[in-house]
Amino acid sequence: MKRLLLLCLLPLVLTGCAGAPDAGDLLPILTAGVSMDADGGLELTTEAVRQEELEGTASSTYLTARGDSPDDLFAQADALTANSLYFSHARTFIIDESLARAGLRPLVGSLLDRGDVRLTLRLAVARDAEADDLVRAEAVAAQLPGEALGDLLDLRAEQGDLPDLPLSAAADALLAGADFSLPALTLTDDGRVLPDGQADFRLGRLAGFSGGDTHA
Amino acid sequence: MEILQFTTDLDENVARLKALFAQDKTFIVRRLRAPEGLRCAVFFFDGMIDNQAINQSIVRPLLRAGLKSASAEALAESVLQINECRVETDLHAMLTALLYGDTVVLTEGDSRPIVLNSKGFDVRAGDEPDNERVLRGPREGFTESFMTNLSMLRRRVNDPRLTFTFSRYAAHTHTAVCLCWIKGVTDPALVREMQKRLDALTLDGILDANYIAECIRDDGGSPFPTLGTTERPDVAVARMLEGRVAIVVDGTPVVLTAPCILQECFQANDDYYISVRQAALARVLRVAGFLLSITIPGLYIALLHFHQELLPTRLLLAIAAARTGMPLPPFWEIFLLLIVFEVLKEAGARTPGVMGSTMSIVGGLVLGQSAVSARFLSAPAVIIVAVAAVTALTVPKLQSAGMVLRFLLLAAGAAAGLYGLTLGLALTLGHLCTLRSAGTPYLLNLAPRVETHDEDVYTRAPWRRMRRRRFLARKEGGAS
Amino acid sequence: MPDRVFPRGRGALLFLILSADALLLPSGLWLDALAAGVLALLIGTGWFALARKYRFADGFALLDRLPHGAARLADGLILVLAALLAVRTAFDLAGFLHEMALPGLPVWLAGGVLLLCAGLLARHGLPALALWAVPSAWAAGGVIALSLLLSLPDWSLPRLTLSTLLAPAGLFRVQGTVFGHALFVLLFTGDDPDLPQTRAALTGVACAALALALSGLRAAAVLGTRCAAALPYPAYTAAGVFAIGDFLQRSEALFGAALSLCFLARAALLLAVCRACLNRLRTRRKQPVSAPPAV
Repeated sequence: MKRLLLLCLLPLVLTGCAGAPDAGDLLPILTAGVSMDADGGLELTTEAVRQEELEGTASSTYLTARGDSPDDLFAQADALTANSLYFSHARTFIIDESLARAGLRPLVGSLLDRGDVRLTLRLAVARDAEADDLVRAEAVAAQLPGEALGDLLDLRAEQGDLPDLPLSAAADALLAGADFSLPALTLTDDGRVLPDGQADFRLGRLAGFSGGDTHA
Repeated sequence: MEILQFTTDLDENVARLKALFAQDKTFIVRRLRAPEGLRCAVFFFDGMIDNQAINQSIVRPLLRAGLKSASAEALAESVLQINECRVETDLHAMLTALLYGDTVVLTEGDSRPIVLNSKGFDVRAGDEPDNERVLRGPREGFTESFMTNLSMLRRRVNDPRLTFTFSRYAAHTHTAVCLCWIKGVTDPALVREMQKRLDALTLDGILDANYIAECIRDDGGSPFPTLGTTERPDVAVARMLEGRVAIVVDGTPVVLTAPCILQECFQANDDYYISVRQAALARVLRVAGFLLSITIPGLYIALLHFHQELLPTRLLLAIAAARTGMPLPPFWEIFLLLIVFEVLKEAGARTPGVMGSTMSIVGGLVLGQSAVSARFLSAPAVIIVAVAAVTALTVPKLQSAGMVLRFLLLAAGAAAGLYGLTLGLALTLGHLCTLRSAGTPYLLNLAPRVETHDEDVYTRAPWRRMRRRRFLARKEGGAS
Repeated sequence: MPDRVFPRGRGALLFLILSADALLLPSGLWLDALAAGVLALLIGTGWFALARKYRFADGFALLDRLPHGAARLADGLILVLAALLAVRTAFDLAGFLHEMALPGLPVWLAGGVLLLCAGLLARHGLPALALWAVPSAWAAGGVIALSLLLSLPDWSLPRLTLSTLLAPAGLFRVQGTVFGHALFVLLFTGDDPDLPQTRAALTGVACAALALALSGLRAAAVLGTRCAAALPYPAYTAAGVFAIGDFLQRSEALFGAALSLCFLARAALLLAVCRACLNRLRTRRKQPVSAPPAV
């Protein structure tokens, strides 16, 4: 029996562990934002977090990639660094207004195809701001910006101030052809990210914004 | 050994015995000639006998007997003043007794030797065993003296049903072995089975109970113990009261008990001498500690390689930072550290007491601290192995099993993450389900659970509700 | 190893082998799973009643009442079917592991290793396997129950749609592909006056039906019916939705590990059936026709 067990373990160890990425090979992403330019090209900005030393603190770096389609975009983003982009810890995905008006289906489809994207990822729409600016905005408290934004959206969703629609619910609504709303985010004059009403979707495309303190 | 034969001629008998132990300067022959004419010879080994007993109970009475001649029985019954005295017709048994510290007396005109109990070799005091200490309770431990050990059992079981069956095994050492059980409590089939296994021994020398244990235990390849061991008489008696047999071996303080089931590996002597709540908590901690010790290295590797999503973000970042620049992959780091831990443990066991603490400091602090500072090993790996090492000490009876499982589950976790770990644990459980100890299922009372016998399984019931019963003798069909 | 199968062991084995399909069952069939479970309970009750009336110890004893040739043919067919299903079970799990958890592990290797491990569990026969099943069922069932409980706050009933209602096609599909595996346990189950088995066996089936139904329902309630239908393993994905602070989140792998135990149990049971059939065929060849072969 011992020989059999060793026979099982050896090839498994050789194949399973050999190709598996180490924690140090991953680049955790906290927030990402995608925008579309006039030509239909897409730009992805991601907030990646790293901690250089055990005694140090985590800090954010921003990576930008361009692509023609969501799948191409993510492929280009993965090719930016030697480390793999790791979306499993991502809290928020910001979509800019132009892309939202063009339709969410391709982007949501790409997100669902990625194995590391969680279905609890919160989608939000940039209102009167660029997605890239929202991703790069500083946090008010001494916190990672992505963490701060994720916590804020969670809290407001719990309180009922914002639509509570993670990626799974948005995908479900898209597949059903139903209307749905996503949180809208804006950038204040002092560079803070604030929830500002909601973005209303019809047949998978942004129809308009409603509510919000800054637009009251 | 040549067959020794005695005649009625005392001189010839003395010459034969002297020839047998010709080179042995510890073999002493004391010839006696009483004034009335009685001629005898006293034989013993210096250093193994009680000199005072020989002088006062054997030599003096023989010299003052006032006899011209006497048979062996007459001397044994009327002259010799010692508590244990017999005429021995089996010369092999006579030689064994002589070699074990008894005295032999031969008299002129009788070829039969008299064997007298005059053992006086030094034995260690029955101190509390180092590896079975208790906070509260008896502090006595078995010693290397066979009879002393048996007397410790007898003192605790004041019941004529306590039965000892003596045998000698091993061609060169003729080691005395005693099978102990309690009539009416122990299943006779168990006794027969253990006797059969002992009678099948073919060793030529037995110096410790483990020689016997490895020959008679079930499933020798399993890392789990299928024979119990103890150096404490209270534990041995407690196990006998539950229906087990105890095997006492001469020359070693370790007593074997059978059968051994998994639940007893998590029981400690303390459990029965401290309060119920304390005992319950301790037992739960032991189980949790053992499980943690075998799974945590594999779990760490599984999380690091395959399930990073399970780690909180900050922890993931900290571990990634700690691992930056490390020369070894996490699996080999943990593997190496586990090896180092085993080496340190072995070194600690071999080190003389005065150097032991020094070695601990060198091993633990200097090596660990320096390795992390030099970026040779990562701090999380050192922590993981330290936790595994410390928690392993909560269940000393499963040290061997823990060591094997730790490595196997590490490999399983490295191969297939949590799924590999699950598979490894499932196979371990499968192995336990097939183990037996002297015919008793190894998972008795655990799987399936027997409600009427679980007063001492997961936690100990208070003594007023716990009757010691022969749960080892239950029928398997009694479980639901 | 024990010589007899304890009732709890049989119930645990039934729970494990039936719950495995929580991983593969489409979320829309949750109601069908419940209905199929009820049907399986009725069939099981009928089986035990027949066993008591006609006094047969297990399904194999029933096969022994057939003419010699027919019994051999039945043993052979069961052997082949069980072997094929065991391979399918192992490779179903291997496929899931390759797709969702361990992309670096080749499917053929994972499937082969799983079959080997199932064979190791099965080699000592059903009594040992049933003994193993008891703590395994507690572990797997505990994880499944805990996962369902902790995800309750994330359930959103409006996300359920009418398409999750009961459909006959779904019912028979579930009955055949899921609860059909219970028939293999019936080969070892019958009338045992010393160890009444009915209650434990039916409890195992009932718990499995609940686990299947609730896993499917949870996937639909948490992810939405259409989103769950679009995913390859909705029950598994839905298990990763809940979060307890920053400590326990994204934990679908734990749910998956519990279900992999169920797959292992199923493959082991099927290999135990193969072993039993093989022994019976060998014994039949050696013994006279009139003597019933031992299992």
